[in-house]
Amino acid sequence: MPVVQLYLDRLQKLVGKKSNNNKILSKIPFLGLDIEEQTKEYLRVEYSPNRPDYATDFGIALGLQGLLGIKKGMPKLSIKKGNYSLKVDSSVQKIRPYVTSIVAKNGILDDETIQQLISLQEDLHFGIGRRRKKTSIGIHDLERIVFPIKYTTVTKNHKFVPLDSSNDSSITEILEKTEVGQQYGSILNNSSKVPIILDAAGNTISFPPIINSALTKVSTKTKNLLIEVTATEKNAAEDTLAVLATTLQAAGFQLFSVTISGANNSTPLLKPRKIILSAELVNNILGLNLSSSMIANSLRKCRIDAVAKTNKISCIIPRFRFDIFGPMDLVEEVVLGYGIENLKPSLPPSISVGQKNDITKVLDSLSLIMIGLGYTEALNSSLVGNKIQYELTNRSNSEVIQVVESKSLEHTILRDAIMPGLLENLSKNVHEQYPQKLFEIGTVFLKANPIREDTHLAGISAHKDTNFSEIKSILQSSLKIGFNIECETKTSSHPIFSEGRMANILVNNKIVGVLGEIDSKVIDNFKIRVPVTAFEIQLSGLIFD
Amino acid sequence: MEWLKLKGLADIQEIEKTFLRLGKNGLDAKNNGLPERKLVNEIQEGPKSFEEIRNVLKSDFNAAIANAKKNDWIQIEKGESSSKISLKGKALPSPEEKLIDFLGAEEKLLNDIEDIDALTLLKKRPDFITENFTKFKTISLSEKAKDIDVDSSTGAIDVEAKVPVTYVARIHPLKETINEIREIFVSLGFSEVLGNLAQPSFWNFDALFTPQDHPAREMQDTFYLKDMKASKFATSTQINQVSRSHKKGWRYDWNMSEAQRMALRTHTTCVTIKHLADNKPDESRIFSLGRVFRNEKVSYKHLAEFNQVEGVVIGKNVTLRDLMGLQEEFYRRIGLTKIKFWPTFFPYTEPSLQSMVYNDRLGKWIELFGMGIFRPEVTKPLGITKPVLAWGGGIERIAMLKYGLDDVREFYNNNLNWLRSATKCQ
Repeated sequence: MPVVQLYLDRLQKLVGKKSNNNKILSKIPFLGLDIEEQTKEYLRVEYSPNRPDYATDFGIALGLQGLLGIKKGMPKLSIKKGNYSLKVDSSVQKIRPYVTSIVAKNGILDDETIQQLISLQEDLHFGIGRRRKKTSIGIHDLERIVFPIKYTTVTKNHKFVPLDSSNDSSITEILEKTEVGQQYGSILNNSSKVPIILDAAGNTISFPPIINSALTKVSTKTKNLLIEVTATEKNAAEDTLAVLATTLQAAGFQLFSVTISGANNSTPLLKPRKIILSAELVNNILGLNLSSSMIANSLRKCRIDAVAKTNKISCIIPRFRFDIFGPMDLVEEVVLGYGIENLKPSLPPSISVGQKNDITKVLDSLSLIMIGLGYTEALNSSLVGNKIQYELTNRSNSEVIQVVESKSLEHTILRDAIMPGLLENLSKNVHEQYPQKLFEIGTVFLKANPIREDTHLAGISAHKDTNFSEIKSILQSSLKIGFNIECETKTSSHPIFSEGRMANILVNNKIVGVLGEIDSKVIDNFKIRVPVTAFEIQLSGLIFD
Repeated sequence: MEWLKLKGLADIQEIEKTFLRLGKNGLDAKNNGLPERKLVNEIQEGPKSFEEIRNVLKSDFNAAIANAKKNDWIQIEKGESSSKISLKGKALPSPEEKLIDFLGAEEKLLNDIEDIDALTLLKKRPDFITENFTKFKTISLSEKAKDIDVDSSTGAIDVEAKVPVTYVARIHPLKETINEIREIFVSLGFSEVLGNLAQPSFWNFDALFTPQDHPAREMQDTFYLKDMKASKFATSTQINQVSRSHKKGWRYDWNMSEAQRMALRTHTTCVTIKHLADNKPDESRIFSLGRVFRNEKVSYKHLAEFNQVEGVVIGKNVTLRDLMGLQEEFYRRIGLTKIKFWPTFFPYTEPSLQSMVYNDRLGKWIELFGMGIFRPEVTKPLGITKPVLAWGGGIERIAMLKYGLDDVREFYNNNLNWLRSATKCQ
C-alpha cells in the first residue's frame, strides 16, 4: 500500500483555523488511512490505492475538513476559460490516442509541495495509469511553452534534451540508454513512430509516456503549470486529470481550460456525476433507521453533495471520486460520515447448525492417532525449494510444478512429497534430545490437466535404534486403529531409502505409499547423525474420497 | 544421576580412557614378523645382495633396511657391482616387537603401556595401531549422602525435589490455534467448505471484480504456475456475466486466457465465492480455512505461505452491524475483548471495515481481520441476489498473540525445543 508523509503544521494550516492536531489525529484513521509512523513533526500514513486523491496532504486536508465539519459538500472545481489550445494529430490514434490537459496558475511551489505532487504523480502512474500503460502525466512550467501546442508523432531520430540531462538525445537513445526508457519503452510496442508533444516554437515539451523535456522543468520558482495526461482510454485520462486539478486547486492554484481538438479528442469538462441513493438501501445494509436528511448530511461530510428528498437522496459525485461505482459505494460514504464509532455491533441469531468438513474430521482424528503413537506434529511450506526437495534427498522429478518469478529461492516449486521437509526439520534439530519423531499431514501437487492436489501423511523417526520394523509398526497401527485398514509392504527400491530396506505400501493391492530406512548418503546430506526411518502415504482415495 | 549430583548426594567424575589394539598391518606383523625381522631371517644363512632381498620383501624393502639399521642388526658392504647385506650380532627383539607381543589380539589400556617411545614408532606405521576413546563416569556417594540413614527410613522420599522434564508428543501450536478458530466458527453456526490451493485466476481475481490489468494481479504479488492454464473452471454463464461486469465497470477488453492462468490462491475468498456462485443459497453461513500464498520477501512480518480463514453470511436481512457483532463475538471467544473498527479498502467489498484489537503485551492496537459486504459488481454477475457479509484474515497473527511470538517464521521452523515446550501466554 502506498504511503504519504504529512507534516502536522502544514496539514493543520490546510485543514483550517478551526482544527487542531488532536482533532486531526483522531480523524485520520476514519479516512481509511493507517498511521505507520508518528513523530511530533510528521506522520507517515498508508492510504488505499483506490483513493489517489489521498496521495498528498492537500487531498487529505479536503477529507479532514469534511469529517471535522469545517467544510462540507463537494469541493467544486472552478475552471476559467483559458487562452490555450492543443491540437491532436490523427497519427497518434494507433499508439496512444488520447490527451487531456489543464493550466494551473498563480500558485506557490515550495519544496514540500513539489515532493507531494511528485508522489501523487507516481501514485497515479502506478494505479489508474497501470504503470503508465493506460495513462501518464506530464507537469510543465507554463512560461516556457509557446501556444498552440500539438500532440502528434515523430520518428525515432527526433531529438530533444530530456529531463535531468543537458544534451540532445534521440528517441532511440532515450529508449535504449535511460532508465525510464528501458522501464517503460515496451509500452510503445516497438512502433516506428512515437507520441510527442511539441509547442508552436517547435520545441519538444514531452515524450509520453517516457519522459518530459528539460526545457519545461518545474522548480520552486515556477508559478504557472501546464498539466497534460496522455492515455489509451479517454475516461481514464480525464479521471487522472480530475485528481490533479482538484489537488492543485486545493494547493492554491487557479485553473484554466486548455481547448483540445482533433482525432476524437475534446476539451475536458470534468463534470460531476449524479447518483440517486435510496434511504431504504442504506438502512437495510447498515441495520439502521436513518432519515434521508441524516444520510445526506453524512454524505456531505464525505465531500459529496447530497440533497434529501422523501426516501431518496440525490447525490453529486465529483469527477475525481472515480472509486465510486454506484449506490453501494455511497453506503460506505454514509458509514464514514455517520461515524463507525456510532454503529453498534449486533449479534444476529444463527439459523443454521455449523459443521466441520468431513475431510477435516478424518484428518483431525488421524493427527490424534499419530500423537498417541508418540509423533509430534510439524508444519512445513508446500511451496518449497529444489535443494531440499530433490538434491539432498537424491530424488528427481521431470514433472516439477514451478512458480513464476519467486522472490525467494526456498519457494520455487510445489512439493510432490512431504518427507524431504521432515528430513530438513531433523537436520535443524540435531542438538535436541532423541528420539525425535515427527509427522505432517499436508497437500502435495502433481501435474494432471492442469494439476492434482492430494493429501499425504508422512511420519519420520530418528534415534540410534530405529529400524524398518519400528516404522512399519507405526504405519500399520495408524491405519488399523484409525480406519480399520490393513496394509501390506512389498519390497521395492527408491533413491531416498537404503537398498533392501524399503518397501511400497499396498492397500487392496494398490500402491499408496512408501516406507523404509533412509539411505546413509541422504542422512549425511542432511547432516543427521543417527539412523532415520520414515513413511509417506496418500490419504486421498484411502481414508476419504 | 544428574539429579543426585544437583542435590549434593552424589560425586560424579568424568574420565576419558584410551584403548589401543593392533590394526590390520599390526596383526599381520604379529603373525609374520615386522619387515626388518623378515630381512634378518633372509640373511640368517649368510649375506645376500640388495636385488635378492628386494625380490623377497618387495614394497617392504625400504622400511626393512631402515629399521634393521636403526636396530643395529645389519651391516652393508659396498661391492663393485652390488652391495651385500650381512647380519651383525644376534638381532635381539626390538622394543616395537615387544610391544606387538604385549598387545596381542586384545584391546589394552593406554595407561598399561610402558614403552611409549615404541608406541610412537608403531603409530607412525600405517594401520598398525587403532585408538579408541571412551568416556567414563564414576559415581560415588557424597559425604552428605553417606550420612543418610537408609536402614531406619520410613520409605518416604523427597517429594519437593525437582524431577526431569518429560516431553510429550503434541499437536503443532499453530494447528492448535487453527483448530480453535475452526471450532469457534462451527459453534457460531458456520459450515466448512474446502477448495484447492491452486486456482484459476478467474476465481481468485476475475470473479471478485479485480480487473485483469490491476497491479495486484502482477507477478510481484501473486505466484503464477509456470505454463499452466485451467480448461474447465466455471460455467459459460458465469464466465460471460463476469466478463461483462468487468467491461462495464472497468472499461477494458476482458481476456479469457488471463482468467485461465493458474495461480496459488492469494486468499480463501476464491473458495467461498465459488461455493456461493455454484449453490446460490438464500440463507447460509459458511467458512473456508487453509493455506494462501503471496509472492513476498519472507521476513519476521511476512511469509510467502500462510493460513487464512474467511467466514461468509448470506441472508435477506443481514447488515453491516451484524457483521460487526459476529466479529466482536468471534474475538470474545478467542479471548480478545478490546476491539474497534476502522474503515479500509478491499476491491471486492463495499462497505469495508477492518478490526483493530488491543494487545496488552505489545501495548498497542493491532490490525486483525478485515470485513465487508460483497460488492454488487461481484455478486450480481454470479447470480447471487442476497447481501453477503464476509470477514477473515491471517491466522498466524492471532497465533502470534497467543504464543507471544514476534517472528512469524517461528511457526514453520519446527524447532523441536519450541514445539515440545511452547505454552500459550494469552
